[in-house]
Amino acid sequence: MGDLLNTGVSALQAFQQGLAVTANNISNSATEGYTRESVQLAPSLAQNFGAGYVGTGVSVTGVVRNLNLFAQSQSQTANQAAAQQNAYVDVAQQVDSTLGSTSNGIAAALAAFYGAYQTLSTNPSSTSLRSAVLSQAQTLAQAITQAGQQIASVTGTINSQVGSTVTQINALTSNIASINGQIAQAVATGAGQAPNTLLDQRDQLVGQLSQLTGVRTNIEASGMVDVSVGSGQAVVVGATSTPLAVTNNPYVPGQSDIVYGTGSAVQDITSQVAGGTLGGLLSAQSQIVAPALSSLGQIATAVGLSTNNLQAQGATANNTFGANLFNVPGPTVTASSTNTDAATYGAPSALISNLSALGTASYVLQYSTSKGWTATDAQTGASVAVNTLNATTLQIPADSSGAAPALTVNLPRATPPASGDTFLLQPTAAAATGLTVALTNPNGLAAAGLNPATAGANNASSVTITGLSASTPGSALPSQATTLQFNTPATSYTVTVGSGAPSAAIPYTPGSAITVNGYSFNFSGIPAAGDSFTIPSQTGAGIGSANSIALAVAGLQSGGLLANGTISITTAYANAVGAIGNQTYAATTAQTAAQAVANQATQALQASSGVNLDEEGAKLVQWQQAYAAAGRVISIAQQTFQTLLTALNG
Amino acid sequence: MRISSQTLADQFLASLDKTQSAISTNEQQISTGQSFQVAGDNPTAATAAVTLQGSLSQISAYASNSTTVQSRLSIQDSALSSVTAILTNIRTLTVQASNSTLSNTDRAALATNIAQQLQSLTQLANTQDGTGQYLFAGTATGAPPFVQAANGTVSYQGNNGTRQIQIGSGRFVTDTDSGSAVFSNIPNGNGSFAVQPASSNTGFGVVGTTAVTNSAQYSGHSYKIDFQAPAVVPALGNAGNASLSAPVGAVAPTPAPGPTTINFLSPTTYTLSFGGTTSAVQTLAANGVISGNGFSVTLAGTPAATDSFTVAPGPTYSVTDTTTNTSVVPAGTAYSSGQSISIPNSGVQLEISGAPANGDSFAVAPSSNQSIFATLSNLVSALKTPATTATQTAALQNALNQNLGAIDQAVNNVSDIRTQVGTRLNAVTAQDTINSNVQLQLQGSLTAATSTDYAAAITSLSQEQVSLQAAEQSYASLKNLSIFNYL
Repeated sequence: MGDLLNTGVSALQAFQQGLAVTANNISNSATEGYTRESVQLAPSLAQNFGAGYVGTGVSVTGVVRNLNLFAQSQSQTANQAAAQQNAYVDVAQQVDSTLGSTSNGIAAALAAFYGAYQTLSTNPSSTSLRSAVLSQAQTLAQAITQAGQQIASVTGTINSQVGSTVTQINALTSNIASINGQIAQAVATGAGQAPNTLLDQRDQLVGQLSQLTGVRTNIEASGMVDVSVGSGQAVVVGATSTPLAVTNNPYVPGQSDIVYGTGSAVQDITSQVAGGTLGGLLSAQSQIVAPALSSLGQIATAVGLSTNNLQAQGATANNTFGANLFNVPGPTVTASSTNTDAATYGAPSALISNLSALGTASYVLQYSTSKGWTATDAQTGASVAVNTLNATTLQIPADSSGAAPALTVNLPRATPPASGDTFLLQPTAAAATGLTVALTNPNGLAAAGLNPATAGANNASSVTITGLSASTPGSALPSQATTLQFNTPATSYTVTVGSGAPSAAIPYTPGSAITVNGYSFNFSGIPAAGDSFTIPSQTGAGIGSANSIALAVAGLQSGGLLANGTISITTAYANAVGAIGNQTYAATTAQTAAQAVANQATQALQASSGVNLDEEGAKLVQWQQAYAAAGRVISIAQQTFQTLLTALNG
Repeated sequence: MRISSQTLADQFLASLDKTQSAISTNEQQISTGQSFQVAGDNPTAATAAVTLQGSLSQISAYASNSTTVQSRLSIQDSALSSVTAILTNIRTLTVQASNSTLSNTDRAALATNIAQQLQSLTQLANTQDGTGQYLFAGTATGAPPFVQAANGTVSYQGNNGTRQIQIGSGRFVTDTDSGSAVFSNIPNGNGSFAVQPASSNTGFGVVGTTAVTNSAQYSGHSYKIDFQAPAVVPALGNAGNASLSAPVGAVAPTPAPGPTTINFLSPTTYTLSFGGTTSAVQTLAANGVISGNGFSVTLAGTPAATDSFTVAPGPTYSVTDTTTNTSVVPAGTAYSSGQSISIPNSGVQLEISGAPANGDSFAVAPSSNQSIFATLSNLVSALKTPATTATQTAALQNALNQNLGAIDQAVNNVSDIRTQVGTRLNAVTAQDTINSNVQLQLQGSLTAATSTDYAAAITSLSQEQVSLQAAEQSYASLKNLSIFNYL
């Protein structure tokens, strides 16, 4: 009898638990991160009553989460990838809506600027056509710098998002740490039973954290989980958490970097952080925003420098050389704030020595005592050849074919800096935001070319003067003839201006440019001893309607200029648009794929851990029936006892 | 596979999201007419669009340049046509002026007429185009290129430059020609050489046609043709010590008959034989002058009985190459009026008619450039100079011949230039056709790359709408299914 009662009571208790767990499942069917729980029942020990074993009821051995660990880790990984892709695509679309927009006006402004020069070539002395050129130059500069500033501002958006993401990360890690503590306590006092709700909460937090940045987790024996980011920096160890912090990038003060640790153990982990929103934002900054700004800067530099160069080769009606039409901000060299020699070394400067070889890459220059000056591509990390011309001049990238390198870096002093010091060389980024029009007076535009130089009729060599231009743009045209007479040997020459006396001998290095009487020019080869060259007076060269310079500038719209003279400015801009377009398109496609994978993984996780209301409803019925049956057992037990009592009593 | 309730909802939301964003893209395409707004939607088309737009803008710049250059060249052409008309008119007047029956007054009137035409020519040379730029000024188009001084001479203030105008990719056409090319750089003479009578000439030699007979031999040397008086050649074997002076005489401007021989029969008597006829015996005059056949010589000394002297007919000439200082035709070569004088091994041939006097000379020099205005000024002064004596008449005739030749050269020059302008205009028109074909192609490519395909977009839109409806309806029916409806 007692056995029957006990068995019934045990069943009642067990089924009550079952109902409670099912009710809990139903209540939490919409809870984020909730894992479906099931009650585990086991038959109680059987007793031997002589003629066999009879069970003594049922007992609840535990309440378990139906968690498929594999599906959970798959889901975390997939969602992390999707979050990373989302952040990346977001940045790409911001840049694309500027540089890649069909309505940013740059293509139209380029066409209109060169078109204005083309029209000027038919009537170079017209003031209204000259003013049209200036105003189109203004429109072009504004369109470019507006786009450039918008792209640069994306960095600011990224920075603030990085900041808020890191704050979220820190909040999550500290919550995980405190839950870790609670779990350890619950495990210690729970006689081996898992604290399911706490575990669910922690899993939820870790899942959220993994969406923000790539993490590695390690479950300790105590049930607590250790979390590390980057390349192994632990942010949660047991019940303590270590926050991350945001600082300024050593080269670009407006850019954010992630650091770990405090005081002397501070470690910059920006390059090691990958995955999740944070990884997506940081990689977008270096792979999308910086290259886009450099590409746009390349266009701005090409337009500005090529026009200025041609202007310097022309004459105006005011008897001056053409003045610079554009102000083109040049390459910038920034010292890393971690350089040990920063205070005494000073800042190197750089200039563009060969526009046709100018690319869109930025470089990190490093000095080491063992290898001298070396350079790497700032975006890809690939190494780039550097030519050390002398103690204070570097040339990048060194070209073995003999063509002049694109950039020349002038070091502030001959003694090198401390070994390990690095500098960031950005050739074109400044031009994207800082291109302006320098000329306001239409008469400062040069449409006519200079009177050409002639080689002496009796010259031994057939060398001619090339690239005749102003040494100072906008300066007065030389009004007298200039004659260069090479001595024997041809390592020096004298200069005679007009009817004056010849100058003292000036040393000449073959291949170097010559600056004489306001001119700057080169030779097509090596002059022989005794050769003479005459540049006639330029007075009046710019008066009237000669148009060779105007034609030359108009020809830049589709003439070969960049990539060693093989692509035009219009093509270079089209390529820049195509590049950001392709990046965005590829990123969007990858985002769709990542999202699909994440959806699949979530579904797989839900398959084991999700609550199905119909299923729970059926279970309710099941437990209820079982409960009713167990209750019936108790009432039967009571009746049998009553029968026994009645039989004994009477 | 087990499906949780959450999964059903998630799936519906995901498909809702996808369909709605597709609908939104289609709507944007339809309303803006552009198949993409940013390069990320269609990178290839975005790149192509930038390049195509650049090319299209270039083509339209070329088209507008072509219109400008066509109008300037047409203005130049019609100005040159008027120039040709004026020059033809002046030529006719010049030919009229050669008529020997005209008087000084008549020629002066012609001179005035020509002077007025010279002014009209100057005005034509200062033609402007529609924007106020001077056409015939080279590249110094801001100021009138041809300026007439108070004394009537016209000087060129422009330069020799020409402009190139771009009318197509890599195609340039020369703009208007410079004033120097049209009006100033005209070779005088016959285009290769010019013959200039010395201003000190006293005779009546007139230069006629000149030509280069063998251009391979023509070396560009200068020559001088000197005329000497009729010579007296004593016969070999004259015994006496007489000498005759150079013949002088009013030699009439008719062809000289031929050599005349003076045969002395005695120290005081002689006969003159000419062309086979011998005159009667003549007695030597007391002053020693022997005359006959249009000349007279003075005898000095005493001739012997059978001495004879030959008097060469008419004037004789010699030709010297003044570039190399060598004689090419020896002195004493007989001259007859109207004959062609051919300078040996030089290809130079010229005709001189009339009777040059002793010491007259004519210089042959390679042609130099002479402006049409200088030619016309010379013509006007030549016509204003009175021509009453035979010398003056001869000088006038020479001047008229020279200037007529120069006017012909000028007309040829203008005609050459008009031909070139015609060629350039044709090239521009041909390029226009090419440009508009290219423009059509580019526009078509641009439209294909960037414009919305309305049929496809609208079809896609309705398809998406249908699938959205289906998803919503199925979710609506699904959500009603729950076991709790039956418990």
